[in-house]
Amino acid sequence: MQGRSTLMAAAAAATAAAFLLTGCTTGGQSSTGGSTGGTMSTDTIRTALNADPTTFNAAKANAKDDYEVARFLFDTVVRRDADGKFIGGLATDWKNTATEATLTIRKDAACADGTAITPTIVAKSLSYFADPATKNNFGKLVFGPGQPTITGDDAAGTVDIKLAQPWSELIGGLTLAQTGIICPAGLADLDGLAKGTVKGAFSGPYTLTKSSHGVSYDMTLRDDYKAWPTYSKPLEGTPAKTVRFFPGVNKTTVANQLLTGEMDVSDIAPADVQRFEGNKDYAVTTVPFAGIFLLFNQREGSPFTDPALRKAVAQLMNQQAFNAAAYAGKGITYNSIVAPTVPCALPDNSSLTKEDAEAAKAVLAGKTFKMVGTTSIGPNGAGSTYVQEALRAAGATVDLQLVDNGTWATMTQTKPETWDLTVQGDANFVGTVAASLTRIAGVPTEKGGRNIGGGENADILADIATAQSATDDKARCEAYTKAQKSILSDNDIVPFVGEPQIVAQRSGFSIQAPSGIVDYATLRITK
Amino acid sequence: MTEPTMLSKEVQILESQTPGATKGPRGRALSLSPWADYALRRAGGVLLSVALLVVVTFFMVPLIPGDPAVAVAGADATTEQIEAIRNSLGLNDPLYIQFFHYVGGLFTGDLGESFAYSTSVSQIIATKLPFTAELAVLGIILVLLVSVPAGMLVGILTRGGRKKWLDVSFGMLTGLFQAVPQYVVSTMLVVVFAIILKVLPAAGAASLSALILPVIGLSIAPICSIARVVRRETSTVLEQDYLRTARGWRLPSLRLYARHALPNLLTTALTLAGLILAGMLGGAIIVENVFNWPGLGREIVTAIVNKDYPVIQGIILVLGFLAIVLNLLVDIILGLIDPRTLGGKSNG
Repeated sequence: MQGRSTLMAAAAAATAAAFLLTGCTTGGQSSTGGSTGGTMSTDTIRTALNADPTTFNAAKANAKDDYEVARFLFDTVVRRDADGKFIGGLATDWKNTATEATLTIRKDAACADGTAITPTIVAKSLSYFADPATKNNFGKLVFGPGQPTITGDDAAGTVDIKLAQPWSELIGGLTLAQTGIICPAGLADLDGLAKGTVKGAFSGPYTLTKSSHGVSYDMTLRDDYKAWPTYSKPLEGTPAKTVRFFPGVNKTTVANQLLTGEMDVSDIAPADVQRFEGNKDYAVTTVPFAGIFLLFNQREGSPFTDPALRKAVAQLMNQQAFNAAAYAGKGITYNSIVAPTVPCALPDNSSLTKEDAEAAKAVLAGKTFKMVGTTSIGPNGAGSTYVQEALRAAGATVDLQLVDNGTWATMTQTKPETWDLTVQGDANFVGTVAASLTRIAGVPTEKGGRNIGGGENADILADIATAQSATDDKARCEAYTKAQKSILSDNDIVPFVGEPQIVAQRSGFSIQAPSGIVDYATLRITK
Repeated sequence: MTEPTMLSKEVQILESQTPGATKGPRGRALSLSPWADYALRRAGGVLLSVALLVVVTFFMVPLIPGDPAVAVAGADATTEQIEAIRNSLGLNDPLYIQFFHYVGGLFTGDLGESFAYSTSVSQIIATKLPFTAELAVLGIILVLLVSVPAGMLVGILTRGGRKKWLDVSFGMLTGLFQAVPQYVVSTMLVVVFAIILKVLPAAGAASLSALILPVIGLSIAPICSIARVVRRETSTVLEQDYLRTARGWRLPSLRLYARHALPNLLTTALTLAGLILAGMLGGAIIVENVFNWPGLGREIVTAIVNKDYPVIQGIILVLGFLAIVLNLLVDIILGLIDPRTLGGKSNG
């Protein structure tokens, strides 16, 4: 009898615990959606994040999810229109040369705590972004080499930026979400800013109203927000009153949720695209998220200091085969080191090394290479596996280490002796040729640069300097064309495709991707 | 009029044959206080287990390949930035200093700060543990509610070689579902109930109905495992003399099986259930991924990718501690049901 009552008590306790837990978790959230989750809300957009944002401090954002949430919370001074041209954000007008810019700041913008956004506030925020102490990974891409001087003139309503060296792509850099203006309350409490708890820090249309790590984040539209950009063609629909983000969702799971109406807009995996194709209830937008290329380690001791070996490997590679292996054929074909949508990208593939498997075999047979690849390029690193198999078929031996992103970064950035070649993803958020050039042929990582291949090329750096000093687009593109052709003829890299960012939108929801860059703040409810 | 007499005899016979019903373990006198002895032994075991858990957790995690500072710094970080981050995370301190800080923090309930996120490990665990615990507790309740009656029923119906076809079918079906990977079962559940029938959510934790598919996905294999064990145990118990005698007395079936057979089946079933519950808490990763369930399993995978040592250590420590506590609880319950187990070895 004692046993039975104990058992009953234990069972009752377990059941009670389970019901209490449902109160802590699922019971605590309201259902907004879909065929299986209740009535569709007309003022909420549900979307997914790859992972939790590592910070809500826009200036320190260094992962895709960080940029995405920053776009909602912080306004930038300049934005991109649907055709990629610059339009006003917090700035209504701007004048710039290769070495300086003057931005005129709009007068009706305010922080979420009501503080008016003045030129001084804008200047302080941009100075914080540019400060080396902020340890920002993007400062040099926006302001170029050296430290800029940024001042605000409240009487004139302008912000002046003086660059240390010519950098004619400053205005494009200022469209980055990382340059979003942080209001004084945020700069006064950097810990709270990172956690997203300082409401007054936000200058954008939304504030963070709920934050539950790994579960969901709610952003709520500000009633007092007026600083919407003026697009040449007004966006259809209305901004959501609430945007709810679900972090860390498996992309195939997200596809299921889109189909059942539990999610409204989200990135999906290439393999899931066919589930939405031909379905009138969904729209799919595909843009190149990151350029994927084969990169050689050109440091002393690596076999790929030999240009003949690099050429032979390039002769073996086939873009379509890589695309099929890594991205189910949905990758965007590259003619050069940057996406075709980037200004000054090479217009055709005539500069790519032509395939010649026989010639390649003659050079590569019997050779052994160390390769490191990340499992995130293609399913379980299928992109790197393709390269390994292509080389194996040519008679070479490839010792491939497939590792996660963190380990890949450690090996490629700090242990150059562990690899000879790798498949690299180049997320070019600024959308400039220079951003990719510095990664391929710029200052090596051991000297504080971004180039993990180590093949520093003074001629390329000179071409970048020429392009940045150029006063017109033609001169700039000439310099960039020369640099791109030089890299491709030297086979410093072998371009594959652009990793596709595929955004599926349920009927009634839309998002824009000006210049091939998804702008999350353009999310709208269209029904 | 004979019923009371028969029942009295029945009780006497059954109580004399029901193991451990009245006497202490292996005939020892109750005055030796087996519970005090047991508590002392188990307390020592628990302390040793926790100490080992803390040490192993701390020193195992840094063996994960990759540099946390590089992972935190993100793409394009300079070596200076990486070094500054390494310093700020305390990774340049000797390992024994880091260990002292870690243990010192544990004594004050501080599991540290996440390397990757601007939040404390305790907060991350406090947010996500309820989700995993909810799945696991509901899962184990479902497992026991289904597997014990099902296993008993089949054991009773196939007693003494009866209904051979049922025995074979039961063995095949439970063997099949036990063998099918959790990922496949869970995906099939989504396809059928969410995508085709549209009666349940495909994923997420937005509503109570979202619990149904993950709990089923998590429970199917354990249900089959325990049902098979219970079926075998039932066959064995039903062949024992005291139950033959009980059947001879023509006791009502419910009384016969629920009162006299069930308690003797539960020792094995509960021991298994305890282990399965601990496994569910720590091993719900696949189900959490398929159903986008925001539990600890998904968190630890992300933490490993991010090289977020404090989060990995904190989650393993908490899950390990829960496993120790669960095993202790199972042993206590078993001791209450069958005091003979107090003298035996523990389950964990």
